[in-house]
Amino acid sequence: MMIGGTYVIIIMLAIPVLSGISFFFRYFREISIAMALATLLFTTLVFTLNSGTYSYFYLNEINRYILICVSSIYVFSVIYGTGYHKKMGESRHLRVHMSMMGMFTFTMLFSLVINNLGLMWIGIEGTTASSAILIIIEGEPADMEAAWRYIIIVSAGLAIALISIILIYRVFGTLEITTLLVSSSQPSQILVLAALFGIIGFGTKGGIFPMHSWLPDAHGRAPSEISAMFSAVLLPIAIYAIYIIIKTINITAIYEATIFFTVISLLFVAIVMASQRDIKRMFAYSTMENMALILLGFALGGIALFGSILIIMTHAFAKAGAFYSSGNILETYHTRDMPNIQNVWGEQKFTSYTLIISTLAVSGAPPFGIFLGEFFILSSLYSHGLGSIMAILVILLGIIFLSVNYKVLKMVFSVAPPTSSARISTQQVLVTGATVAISCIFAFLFMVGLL
Amino acid sequence: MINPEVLDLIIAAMILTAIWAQLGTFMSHKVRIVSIQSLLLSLYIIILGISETDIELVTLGILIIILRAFLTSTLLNSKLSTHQFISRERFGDASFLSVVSILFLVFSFLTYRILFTPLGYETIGDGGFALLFQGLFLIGSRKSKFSQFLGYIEEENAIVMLGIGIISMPLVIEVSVLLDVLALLIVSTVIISDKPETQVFQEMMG
Repeated sequence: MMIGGTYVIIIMLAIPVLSGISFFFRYFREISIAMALATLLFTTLVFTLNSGTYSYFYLNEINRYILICVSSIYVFSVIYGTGYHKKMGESRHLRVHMSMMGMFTFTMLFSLVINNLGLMWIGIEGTTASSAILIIIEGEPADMEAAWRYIIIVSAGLAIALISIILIYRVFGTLEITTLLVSSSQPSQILVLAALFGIIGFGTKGGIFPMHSWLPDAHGRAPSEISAMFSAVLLPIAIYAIYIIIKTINITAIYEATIFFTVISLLFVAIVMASQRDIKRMFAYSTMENMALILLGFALGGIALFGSILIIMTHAFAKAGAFYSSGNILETYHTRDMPNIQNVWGEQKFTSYTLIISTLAVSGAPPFGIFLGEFFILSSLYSHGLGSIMAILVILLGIIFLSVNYKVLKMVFSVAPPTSSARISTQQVLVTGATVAISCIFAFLFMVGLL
Repeated sequence: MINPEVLDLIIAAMILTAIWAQLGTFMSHKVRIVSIQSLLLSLYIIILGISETDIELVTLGILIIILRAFLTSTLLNSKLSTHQFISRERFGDASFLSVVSILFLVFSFLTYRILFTPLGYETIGDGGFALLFQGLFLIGSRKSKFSQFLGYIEEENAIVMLGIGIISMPLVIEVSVLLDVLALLIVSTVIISDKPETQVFQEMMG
């Protein structure tokens, strides 16, 4: 079983790499979609494996869920991309784009399953190299600038995370994650340093304030299917890396640091959200809110940990749906500027539905999974005797909820004369609808005891 | 037996290269000086490897020469236009930058001694921590993407130094880090060659 499991994991990792060969074929779109579906199939097989180690890899009750999210969003983004970039025909740029999506997925899957913290860091750094190219497909100067900021800020941040890994290696004498998670050590100054460097370093990639500055630029300028992959699955992987460090270095200071970073991240988002004009930047800031909550849930553990998993699952599909909807709007209105986007209801009824539902889901409206996840995390905070922090977070979440939903409803229902709208491809409509529909089922799965 | 003062001298030379990179104005010179810094790092590692008969350290040193000192500078130089070769980089007041650089240096030495005392004192770790701040400062203080990337290379050199000071990482990790940085450089050259300086866009504010 273990040997079989290892092969299944290796095949899961190999398929997205092999999808790079699509570059050389005329039917590169079809090959990319087929490879993405095959990746999802093998990820589903991996999901059914028991928790434990498989040669150099390992599975636990958290990474298996993120794996499914990564492969699912990969499939949806590849299909969406074939419609969204149809005007690019069979250009070399689009071929590179499709091939690099496979490499990007490989680095994410690798980071999740590898049983070595050092190699996990390398995987996460690899996601930067493989995904920066994906931002610049349209070649606009602002895209180039966003890609550059992404590379330089994230890489500089991740270098700091490497110091954390060096310190962990010094204290524990190993980087094997399964060993680290069960080993114990006395609290020390070095471990506090390792924890802080880890949170700051991986937090840069995970969009935690104040290391987040690349995030709104990259999300805002990337094509919508790439924004979806960034927000839905890339950022949770960085937060998952922090989780490994938190569980390895089990000291009080790290929990206090996590609560601090969560509060300041939410405070920052609550302040800037109301002034957002760019629809994709608005959803990028919303991602910061969700990542901060996931981090808090990971740190608190217990029911809050379950809340984080629920948020990761729902957020992956709902935020992907929100970015796909934004892409549909961008294609119709040729602008990201929300005051200039009016009467979406009159122009694109289906996108109006998906945009409203996905926005409600990502902002934590009941009965979506994110609402339940937030409820578990906040109640856990209260049971830890941190009622005042909980109250502050509730207020901040409320402000963010009102800001995001007001802006979206204003775009959808404001009255304006019809514009000459571009026709959205069938792939885009189907993918947007599917992701939003899937995001609705997690709360239901939880209620019937299937999650 | 190697005289430890020789190794300390190499570290001091590396810090000097960092200051030089901070104040240098010709981009081609800056690329060269960071290559020299990588070369000095590899020299340190090879000498240490030979004195401790550690084949992994020697291998790491040789790989740094090939991947970081040689390939990195070749790739960056290939993207420098003739104009950039001969023109000076525009940046703020040089005297101000040099004072801030020195202040960062003092701050990093003090911080290292306060924070990392439980690990015992190693000059290479101290030097690495100082180089880390110099690299970060180079990234933060310049508009030129070349300078910012050189700051990142400095930061990566600093991490290698810190690693050696704290504990030598497994070779597979070190080599993978080197290759990762190289991959990032290849991607970066695509972006750098388009517009060599960072720009401000209205739509990317707020």
